[in-house]
Amino acid sequence: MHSVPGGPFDTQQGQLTAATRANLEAKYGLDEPVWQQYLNYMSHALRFDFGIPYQQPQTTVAALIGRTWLVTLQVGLLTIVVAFSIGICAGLYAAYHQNSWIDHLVTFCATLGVTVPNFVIGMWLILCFAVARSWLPLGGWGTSGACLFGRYFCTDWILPVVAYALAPMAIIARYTRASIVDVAGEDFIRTARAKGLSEVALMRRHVLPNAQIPMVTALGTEIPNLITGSIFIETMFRINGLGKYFVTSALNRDYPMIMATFLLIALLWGVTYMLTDVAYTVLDPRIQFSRRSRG
Amino acid sequence: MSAAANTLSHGFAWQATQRLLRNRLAVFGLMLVALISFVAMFAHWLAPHPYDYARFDRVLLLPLQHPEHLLGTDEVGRDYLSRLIFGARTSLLVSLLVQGVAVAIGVPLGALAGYVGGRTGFVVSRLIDVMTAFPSLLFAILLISVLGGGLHSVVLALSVTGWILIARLTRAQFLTLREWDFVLCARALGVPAWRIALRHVLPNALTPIVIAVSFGIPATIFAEAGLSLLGLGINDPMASWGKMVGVSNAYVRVYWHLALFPTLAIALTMLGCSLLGDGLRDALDPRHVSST
Amino acid sequence: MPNRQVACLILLVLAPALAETTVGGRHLSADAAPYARQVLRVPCDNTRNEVTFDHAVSVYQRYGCVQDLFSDTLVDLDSLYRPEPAAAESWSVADDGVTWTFRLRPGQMWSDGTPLTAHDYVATFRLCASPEHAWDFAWFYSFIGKGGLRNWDRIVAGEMPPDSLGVTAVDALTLQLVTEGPFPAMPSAMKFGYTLQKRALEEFGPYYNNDPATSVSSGPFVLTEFDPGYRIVLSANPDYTGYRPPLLQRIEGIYMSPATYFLAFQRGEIDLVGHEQLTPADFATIEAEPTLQANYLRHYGDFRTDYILFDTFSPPFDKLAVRRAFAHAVDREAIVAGIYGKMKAVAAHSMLMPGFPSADTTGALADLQRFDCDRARQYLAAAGYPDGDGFPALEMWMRGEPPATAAVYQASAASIAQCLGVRIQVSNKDGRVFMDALNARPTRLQMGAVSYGMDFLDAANLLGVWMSGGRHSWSDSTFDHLVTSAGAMMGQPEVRDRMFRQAERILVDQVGGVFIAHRWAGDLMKPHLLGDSFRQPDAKGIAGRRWGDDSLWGDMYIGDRQ
Repeated sequence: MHSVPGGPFDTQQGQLTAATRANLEAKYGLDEPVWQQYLNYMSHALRFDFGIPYQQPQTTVAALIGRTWLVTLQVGLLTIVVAFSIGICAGLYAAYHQNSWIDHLVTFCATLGVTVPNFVIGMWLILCFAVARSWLPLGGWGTSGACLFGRYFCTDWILPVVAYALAPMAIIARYTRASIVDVAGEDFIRTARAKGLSEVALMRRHVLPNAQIPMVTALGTEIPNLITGSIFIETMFRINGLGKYFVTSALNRDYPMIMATFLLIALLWGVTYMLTDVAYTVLDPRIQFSRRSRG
Repeated sequence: MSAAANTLSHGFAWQATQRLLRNRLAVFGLMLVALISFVAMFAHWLAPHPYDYARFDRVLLLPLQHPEHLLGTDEVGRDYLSRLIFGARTSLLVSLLVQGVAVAIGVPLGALAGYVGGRTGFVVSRLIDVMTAFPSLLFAILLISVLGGGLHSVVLALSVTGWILIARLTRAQFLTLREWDFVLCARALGVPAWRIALRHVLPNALTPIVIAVSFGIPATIFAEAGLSLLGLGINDPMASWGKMVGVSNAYVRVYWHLALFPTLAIALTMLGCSLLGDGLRDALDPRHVSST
Repeated sequence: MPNRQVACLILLVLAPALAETTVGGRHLSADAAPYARQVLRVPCDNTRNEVTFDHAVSVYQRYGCVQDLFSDTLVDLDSLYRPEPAAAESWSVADDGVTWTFRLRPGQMWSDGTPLTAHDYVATFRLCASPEHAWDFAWFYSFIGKGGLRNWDRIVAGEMPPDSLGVTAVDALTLQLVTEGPFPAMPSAMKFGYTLQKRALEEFGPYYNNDPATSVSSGPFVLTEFDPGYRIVLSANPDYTGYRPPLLQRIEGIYMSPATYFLAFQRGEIDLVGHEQLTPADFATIEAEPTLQANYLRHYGDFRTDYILFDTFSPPFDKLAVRRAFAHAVDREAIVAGIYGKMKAVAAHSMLMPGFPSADTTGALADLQRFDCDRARQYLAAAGYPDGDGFPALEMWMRGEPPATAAVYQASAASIAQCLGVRIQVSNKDGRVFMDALNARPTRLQMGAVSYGMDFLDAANLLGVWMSGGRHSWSDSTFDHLVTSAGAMMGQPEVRDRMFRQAERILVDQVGGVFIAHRWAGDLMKPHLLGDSFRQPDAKGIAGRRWGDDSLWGDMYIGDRQ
């Protein structure tokens, strides 16, 4: 991080005088050797003191992340619910009507959903629903537009979640379809069907459990991505979340924020991996991690 | 034994190709990929204008607004069709290379982590996990400031983190499949571990890998675009589809053609690769091996 | 009983008139909306990094949509960019040429009831100079005149205490500033003379304005609501006694992405959009619609010029012939007409935009960098690269430019490449990487494209950045001498002007930079946003907000919408 060119205090129009730069670096402890900065940081981090972001010196990193991540989490969880439910249903449907027009439609839509970037989708959604016709608010998260049932559902949730969920939906649909098709072609499925097992029971007891392993891996990867937010969605739809800080911290060389956000990412991924590994053993009891394979 | 095995593998390859060619969707995908590759390779002859020639009196023309510019012109006055054609070269190169490296690194590592198990498997799995939190943007800035910009730096920067998902998917598949009966049988017969992994487990594990690669292609194209927009990737006037889409954001409300055509190109490439990939996977599926 | 009825009747009659006065007691004009609807809604950028409202706390990280409204500057700039009284009612310079005395207008108050004094200004300047505060605009007060403010550099470096700064309060209403060397443009430079409150600084620190509870204002507005990332609301200051009492009741800053400013404007959520956030697609829409076009008010902005700079200390740009070849190879007129748009720029042949003091308006300098491809090729051949053979491949860097500006610079590079047959790649670098390379000694930036706008209205500013040892890797001793002497010259405006013109001629002739375009700034406003200061064209026919004219906050009001 420190070897990346450019520092946090370079500005556009005038350059800082050498003296000012020296003052700033002393103020933020950047004039110490890197290893010492690292030790300082870790000792503070263990006490949950993550420092003060250069971008917003009035607050602490912990407070900033706490405040903004709460919003991003809401967006992410809602997106997960929407993307997973629609994605899995579409994938299941396509798998069971393999090679029909529905299957091709799902594949085609999945392709589009992934290739059209979400800022283009977002812009068009805003244009269609918020500018050309004022059906939905232009942005905000619970702050503008109508909220029904006392903040349990707000209309300004609709556009950002739709824009954000399209790509994951596409990915989930395709993985689901492929995993199910993969398992459904196995011999033991044909045997079970020949033995007279109904489709539903077949699905529940034989297909799904075996298809879930690759699904869990792929889908599990989506979750940390979604709950850490997207800078495009958040800036375009005026959501005051954490997503933009991942990018702006790097670009502004805001070292405390960079360290903290990456700690957060590492934590999230670590938990995700742990949970997926646990899920493997739950879904397929034959899986063992410790036994060495012989031969 | 070995002669019979040779005949079997020769027959397998032949049968696989036949199966592939019979699959209409796969053939369609193959044709798409072939067409785009052809365009990329022969860009110099196919493009009506040089991709970097700018005429300042023909800026932001819509498609067919001028007879010489079928797909219009971009914001600097360069022919869009030509830029699309040359962009195929860059985008295909970057995406296929990065995905190739991702498979080359990810599959063996994932197989190792999933199949071997025990301490080695644990170590490799943790290595994969640690690489996930790698700060790719910062690393890209660092790498490119050291190496200078250009295609090779971009491919390198994107390859460093591009293999992780494939490794994880492979690992999950191997973890599962190594407990299946056919593997247990092969082990009981004394087949060496690497052979089991390569010839028995891997073909069954292909499905999510193929899908990951097909999703990886647009992802790589856009990642390269993101780097280019930060000045870290390829420089202007070189064209790449992802960069063309990225730049179009400021113009898209009126000059829709700037976003539409590169997006279509990326979508077609992805479609071709996924159809072809699905077809390959079906063709290589060992369940179809007729017993001799 | 009858008294009550009479009172009610009187109130009923007077009520409409009563409703049409501001909290400061001013009367709204007949075409104004009722006072309750005098609300200006502005967009705030939610991608920017902002920490303060105040210039004295940070210049580059201010809440850009509602900045600097909590104090008045010492001077304001009139329609000819000359300093006129604002918080200061008069000023004078002593015979030594370095001691400036500014007399504050009496009766100015802070919103907590305490009077505004010169001690507040002194405390503010000392804060700006203090090493702990590490002000990001500190370079400015080293840059004015020769040597800057007295002791400024030494205080910033921590060698002297802040109270040895050459800014003192002679009495409660008299402020004295001392510079190291003569600086005739000092009154103009005091357009940056903002102040914080000394008491609040001592009690709450420099960020006291970020909380409505501790915020104090001597300006036309006070902070009412502060929710950064969502909304900021300022209300008219009822105790304001300064030179620009506001007609507006409230200013609301709504945070949104710059990509959606125009959309929000079309939807009626905001009342104005600046030119920097209008994309080329938006400009196409504006030009197509007469109402929008009529309400896009162009103005000079900060006289910003786009140009290409070189490392003239290393090959190949150490050869003047090469630089001249490049200068003649840029087809500025076509680029401005086709890519920039006539609404946004005018072709540039020199650094100073026509309209700026000492700028060339006769076209005398136009020939020196005029687009002439044949002449360009001759120069390149004379330099030893006939038809571009043997010329090294170049990479031109841009500084994190938005797409519209990037297109202009790319076009310039394409123009040079196509005319001369050289290979130029263009890279839009991250801003920090760019400045790092530019400021390195020796510089690592071989060829770059940037823009520069004025900091104060004097040729010493825009030409001063070209002096040796500055940000540009170009050096000419005659130029340095001319600019330094003219910059320090008191009185004799004609001599000064002549010297600046001579200097500019050297700059253009010796191709310190290849000048591409001068930018027109502008604001797109709703038709109901009215005010003579920006709706009435001035002597040159230019309407629109003027850089440095903050008196418009006393002039702006919302008209009655149909």
